[in-house]
Amino acid sequence: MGAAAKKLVQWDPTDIKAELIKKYPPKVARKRAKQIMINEALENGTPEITANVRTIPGIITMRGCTYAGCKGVIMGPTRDIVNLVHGPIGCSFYAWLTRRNQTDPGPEGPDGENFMNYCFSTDMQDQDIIFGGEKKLEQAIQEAYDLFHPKSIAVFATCPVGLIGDDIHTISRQMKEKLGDCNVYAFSCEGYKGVSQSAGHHIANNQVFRHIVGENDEPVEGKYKINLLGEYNIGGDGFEIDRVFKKCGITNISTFSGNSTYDQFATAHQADLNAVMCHRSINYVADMLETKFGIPWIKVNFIGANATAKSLRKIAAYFEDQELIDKVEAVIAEEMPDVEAAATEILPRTGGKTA
Amino acid sequence: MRKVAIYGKGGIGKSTTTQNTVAGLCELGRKVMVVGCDPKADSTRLLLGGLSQKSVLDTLREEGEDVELEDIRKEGYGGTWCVESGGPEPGVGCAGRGIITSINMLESLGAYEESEGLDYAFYDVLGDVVCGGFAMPIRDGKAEEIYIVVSGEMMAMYAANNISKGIMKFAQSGNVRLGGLICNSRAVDNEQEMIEKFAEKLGTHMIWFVPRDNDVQRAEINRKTVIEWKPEVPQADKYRGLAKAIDANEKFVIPTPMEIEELESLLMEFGLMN
Repeated sequence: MGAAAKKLVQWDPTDIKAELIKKYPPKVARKRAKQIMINEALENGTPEITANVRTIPGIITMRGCTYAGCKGVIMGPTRDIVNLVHGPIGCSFYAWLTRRNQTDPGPEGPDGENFMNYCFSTDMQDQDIIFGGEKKLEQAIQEAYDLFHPKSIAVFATCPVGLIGDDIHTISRQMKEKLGDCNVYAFSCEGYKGVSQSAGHHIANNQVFRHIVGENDEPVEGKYKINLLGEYNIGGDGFEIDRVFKKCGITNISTFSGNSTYDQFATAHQADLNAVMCHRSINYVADMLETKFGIPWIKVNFIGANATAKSLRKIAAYFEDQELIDKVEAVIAEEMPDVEAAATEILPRTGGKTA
Repeated sequence: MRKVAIYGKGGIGKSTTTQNTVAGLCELGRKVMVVGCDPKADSTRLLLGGLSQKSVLDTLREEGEDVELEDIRKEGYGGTWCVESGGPEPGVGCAGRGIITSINMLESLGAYEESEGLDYAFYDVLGDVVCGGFAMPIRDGKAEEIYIVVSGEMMAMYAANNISKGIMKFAQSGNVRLGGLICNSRAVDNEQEMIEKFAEKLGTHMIWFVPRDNDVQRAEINRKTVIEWKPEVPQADKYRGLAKAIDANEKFVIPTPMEIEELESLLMEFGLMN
């Protein structure tokens, strides 16, 4: 075991890469080679890795469809938006609470709105495919509104909806006008669009920006106001980040989109700074927020205590406010002993072990 | 039972030709069922004496799953069974999927059973082969012989060639064969010769030439086939002739569609002959 690990370390990176792609047929190997890059401290910077391309059959990749990226990844973690799937029931059922993103009911406590536990679908049948599903969608929006009176209803297109051409955007606009106090909008996120779920992230983010961000001008209180972009509260990590922010006196208006609410998105334009966590899924939203509302953005990383401390210092440095800088240092000093104590206890048990 | 599908460019006269031919087959003593595969549900108007048929899909939608054969087929001229698949309004839903559903429904209700004593089932299919649903009658052996209605006009021949491509595709995996071209004349120059040549190129034959005659329109105004309206007029005999030709037809082929350049030069050759 130890010998094997030692041997691997002695290998040249190019040999490891050659070993990795050796077993593939030539055509697959050629494509795969572009997806494995040797990251050395080069003068020219990091080499560009191929991504966002069609899956190569036979290579194990975790990959959802466009609908999964839109409904599951981006809109799934929102708590008080009714996420209504227009399609056969399976699309909704298998995208129901599958991503472990968590939420809390917010300051309203147990009375806070939380629709994440529900699975909303128009349950399209053969007849709806043949005659079109627009009426059924209209009824479903009305039914969801009558039952829950949500602030907002989001409609998601599944594959057949795109094929038969149901006009979900017009239906949504008409229902928004009819309901009056409920923002209804749709996502053309048919599963077959694009090469992976990342197309769905784009579709979701663009619509959130177009239909929600900036809708609420009611002032948000706070001295240092930020948004956290690309943090999805998988397993509840966002709770911890929010706790630390609060302790530092930083107001996180809106997380895109972990543990988020409609009003958080709607007031996000009032932030002084955007902190981008997952660059891949959301960097262009930061750009759009900067272009339209003049909010600058920085890259952050809250994975691990050291990265968290670094990111907090980065945010404090942006505000150039000694009070905040001091507060952040105090919080880091206060939090670190706990982290170190936990590390001291766990590391001896886990050292040298791999998954 | 022979299962026949009629294809051709939109507006070429598929429904008119089908119903007039079916009337001729009735005179020969054949028992025929006509299945209209067009959301407009106008394929059986002449046999029924008007647009009074309730479509399979409308019935399904209103009655739910509990549908009887008698709810969706209606007796028309000469004891023919008339069925309209029906479908959505223009611009919504999926008419192709509707045709698949209604043909499956007819099958499960036993409309094709031997006990029904059918000699022929005719499918009158909307326009070109536009998607999988409209190809349903020629897939899975629903129809085994195809006739393409064509005229000497370029777009009609273009469509016929395109349909032949569809037939060729399905012929390779099933029993479907091209039975011939029916020329529904538009009084184009050298039309008969050109379609005969065209048929030859496709590896088939022109099974019949239906001349242009206003008696067809007069009969249509009366909501009747020519044979029912005025059995003695010459055009009635033309349809009788087509019915006999189909009844006696034994030439069933896998078509050999033409390249577009070849088709164009055929048009040039015959169109410029005079």
